[in-house]
Amino acid sequence: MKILLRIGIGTLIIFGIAAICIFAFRSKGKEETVRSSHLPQMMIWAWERPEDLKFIDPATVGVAYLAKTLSLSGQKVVTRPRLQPLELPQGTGVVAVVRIESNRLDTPSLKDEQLNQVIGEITKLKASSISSIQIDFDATKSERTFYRKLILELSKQISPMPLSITALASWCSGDQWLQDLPIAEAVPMLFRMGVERGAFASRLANGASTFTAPCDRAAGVSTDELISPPKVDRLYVFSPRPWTPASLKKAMEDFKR
Amino acid sequence: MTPSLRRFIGSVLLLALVCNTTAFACGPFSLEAIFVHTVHPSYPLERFARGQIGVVQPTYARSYLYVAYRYLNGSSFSEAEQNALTEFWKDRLEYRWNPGEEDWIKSWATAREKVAGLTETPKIDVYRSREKPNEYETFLNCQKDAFDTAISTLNERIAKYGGDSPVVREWVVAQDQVFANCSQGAQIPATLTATSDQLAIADRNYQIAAAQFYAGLFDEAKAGFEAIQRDQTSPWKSKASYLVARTLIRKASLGPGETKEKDLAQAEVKLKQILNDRSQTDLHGAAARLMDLVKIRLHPAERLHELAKLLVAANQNQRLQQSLWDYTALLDQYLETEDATKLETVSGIMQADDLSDWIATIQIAGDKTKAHAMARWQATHSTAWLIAALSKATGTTENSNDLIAAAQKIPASSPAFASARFHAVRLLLESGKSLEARQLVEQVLKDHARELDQSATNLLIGQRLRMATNLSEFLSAAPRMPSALSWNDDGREVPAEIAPEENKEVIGKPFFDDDAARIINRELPLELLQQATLATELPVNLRRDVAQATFIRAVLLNDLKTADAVVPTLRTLFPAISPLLDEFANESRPDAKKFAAIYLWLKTPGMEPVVDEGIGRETPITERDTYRDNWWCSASYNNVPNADETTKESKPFTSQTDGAPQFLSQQLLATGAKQFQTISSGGSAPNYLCQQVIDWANKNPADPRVPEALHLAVTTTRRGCTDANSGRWSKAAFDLLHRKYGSTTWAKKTPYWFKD
Repeated sequence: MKILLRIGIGTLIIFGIAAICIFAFRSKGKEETVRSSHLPQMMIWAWERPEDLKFIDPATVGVAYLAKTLSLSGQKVVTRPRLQPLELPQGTGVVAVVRIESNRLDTPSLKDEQLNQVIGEITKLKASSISSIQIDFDATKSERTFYRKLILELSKQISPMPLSITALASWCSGDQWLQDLPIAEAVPMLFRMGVERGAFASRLANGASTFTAPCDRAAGVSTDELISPPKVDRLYVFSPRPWTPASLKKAMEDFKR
Repeated sequence: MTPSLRRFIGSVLLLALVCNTTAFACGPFSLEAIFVHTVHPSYPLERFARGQIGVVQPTYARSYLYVAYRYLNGSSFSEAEQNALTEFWKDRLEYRWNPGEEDWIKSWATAREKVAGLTETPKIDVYRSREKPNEYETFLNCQKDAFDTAISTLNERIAKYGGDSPVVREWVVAQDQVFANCSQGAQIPATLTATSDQLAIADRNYQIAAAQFYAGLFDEAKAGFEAIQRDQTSPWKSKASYLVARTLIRKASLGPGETKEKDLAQAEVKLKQILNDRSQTDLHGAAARLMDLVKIRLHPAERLHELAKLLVAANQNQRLQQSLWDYTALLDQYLETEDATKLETVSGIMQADDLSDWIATIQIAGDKTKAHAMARWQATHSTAWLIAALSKATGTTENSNDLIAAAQKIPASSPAFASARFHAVRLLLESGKSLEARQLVEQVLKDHARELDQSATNLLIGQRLRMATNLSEFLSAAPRMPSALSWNDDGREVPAEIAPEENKEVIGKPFFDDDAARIINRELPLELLQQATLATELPVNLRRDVAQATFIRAVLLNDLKTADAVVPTLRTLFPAISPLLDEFANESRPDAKKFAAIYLWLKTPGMEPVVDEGIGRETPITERDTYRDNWWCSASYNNVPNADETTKESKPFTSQTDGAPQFLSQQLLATGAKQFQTISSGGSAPNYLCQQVIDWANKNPADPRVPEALHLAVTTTRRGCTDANSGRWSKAAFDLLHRKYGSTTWAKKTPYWFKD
């Protein structure tokens, strides 16, 4: 098993994502009032590459597209917008995904000014025809305060649009720091799980009810890592290659959608 | 706005190249040992650019295959070209693409400060979203040349009119409007009428057309530039014809799809006119670049072959990076398909030039490309086609003997040497000529180690491992030096920047690659594992791993004699657990001895009945790992099914191949497999440990170790790899601890049991 953390560049970045799992005696997180229930049960991620998705049936499949990447570096927020074609049929339910990355060599300040820049960049997406915004940020423990503030403020600013976030699997079954946040869903990423794969593969294979609110409504899987996803309202599916009618059909079969 | 690179259109096209491998990192990730690179060659990439190309993988990005093709055909690259190639690869691998818009905007703001009486520079965003229904796409609307032109024009006008002139001030205000269109809206400066200054009027007309261009009003912009072209007095006249073509191309890229072909065709005509006009030579460079873009769009196959010809020509290519960008983009366009029928057509197109044919043949799997590679080699006898044929052949391929013979004739000085020898050994092995294969691999590793990069070395050592005739030879070939240590969270195999002082335990250390770990874990019987614990062939870090795995495996298999035999080695390698080992060794009753082993295991969460592939667990053996890599996760060793991988692409050559080393008899293999099956079927380690402790506690309630053991057993269900049954075992251990030993400190330290 692999366990050396990313401490090599002098900054301990993942240590805080420890899976200190307390599965019993947990109260349920409060139910969010807003849910993106009108989106289809299957959402496909359209990452930064050309995607022609005109073939999807908007009644059954929605699209979560990478809208922009925000790199936090020192005091700065560097924005990299989507520069790839994305073609969708009319009526597609669309979620705009914003990926946030931290520069490991120029540690972000995470001050309020930086927070406000991030919020400003994300709220610009409200102008487009989207149903929801999803944040993809693998926040380290030292970045969680910043991330919590971001979620709290952003959810207010985009209201009534629901806010979704992707979540490391351990956030959803271990330290559970998301429980009291105003998010419509946290999407546990059940692929590319790195060092956590063994532990989660075991539980998923046994059909264990692994995740609690707000991680119990959606899950994220990938077409190249077949697993039995937990029973959730909405499944997000990633494909390492551009989507085609055949790959979508297969994904729907593989994940029983 | 000036003539510029065609890139101004092409953010959509060019950035496809930056991001052609899609990654979605979920993590958390650990440092990974890359033994054999499959996406790109071993670092430093300069080595590959120099012609030391190692074993060419069919899965390399196509730019590397292009370079390999050139070297295999006896060509080379100048030093400048090698540098250009290296930069090209690093730009792609390290996401170094950065347009630098902050600097452009800052320079413009600085220049603007020279003009008196202006308000602060309005905020400029160079990216703009497309209109519905393409609103989810963004493009780089205003590029560096726009700001450069604005700055130089401003400086010229200040020189002519002065920095406090109303003419200059009005020009800047209009330019602010032009730049406002970079991100959104349509702010078009008003026509200048209240002046007789012809230069100011010409400037304004240009600004109006430019603003329309950035606002996406392409028909209006085109008409504006055409009018400027007709204006004999305008200083912008010479550029206007070029800008008409540029507007047409942008309209084709961003405008309605139905007029795309027509617009591109018109642009082509316009650019041809410019290129044929000797009075416009100052525009020829820019026009030629735009023409390249038009050809990519309108005549992709023709352009592909043009580029292939250019790229293989012996003359130094001044625009190597751009040619390679365009060429690989076109190849991606053709080859990235899952449609078998389309792939058939594509093969026909590829065969129109040798470079494209070679790359496509190497990369597309199947009998047709295999036969084609062989036919091309037989027809050309070129080294490039020999390597293609070798990489597709198997031991049963007709004429494989000819291939092997040809491969063995490749001299060590040839760039093809590593590939040729690797495949020769592989084919000899696959065709049952193991003695010859063994001699060849030994000779290469002994005499030509310096010619091999680490990936090639590891591939050859992997072959030697499969030919091991005894345990000692197997153990000699098992440790491998990684070609790189990488986070590899995006599959790019990029070496990590890690601090040596913080990573002493991994830097410069050999580890087990996939083949060695698989054989040790799944095929070696316990008796051989025990011998391996004494082997001097293994470095200390791997001996430790083998020794701990052997001990726990012996315990799980109830072979306490073997476990006993490993104790002296374990004492040497893990002095910190000597007291626990002594306790185990000193017990003579089998059940007590077994419990001593269980008690030891509870206190050493880093022990498991398997060895790690790659870097492995770094947390000390007696400490709990924060990612629950504790005791053993048998589920990780179940074969996790991956989605059907397309068979249309060739697979890389790695050590991840099936097949046992030669010295393992069928009987030994069967024993090893049965033992692995036995330990795997025991299920989750926490369940097993709880069960063992409860059994012992029920039979030996007075054993003073029991309360602690029950506490630790409950802990395993929190910190170990659990399954659906773990909650039940956790509760059982918890209940027993509190029922019978409720007053002990161990019970107090155990307030919860844990369920999944």
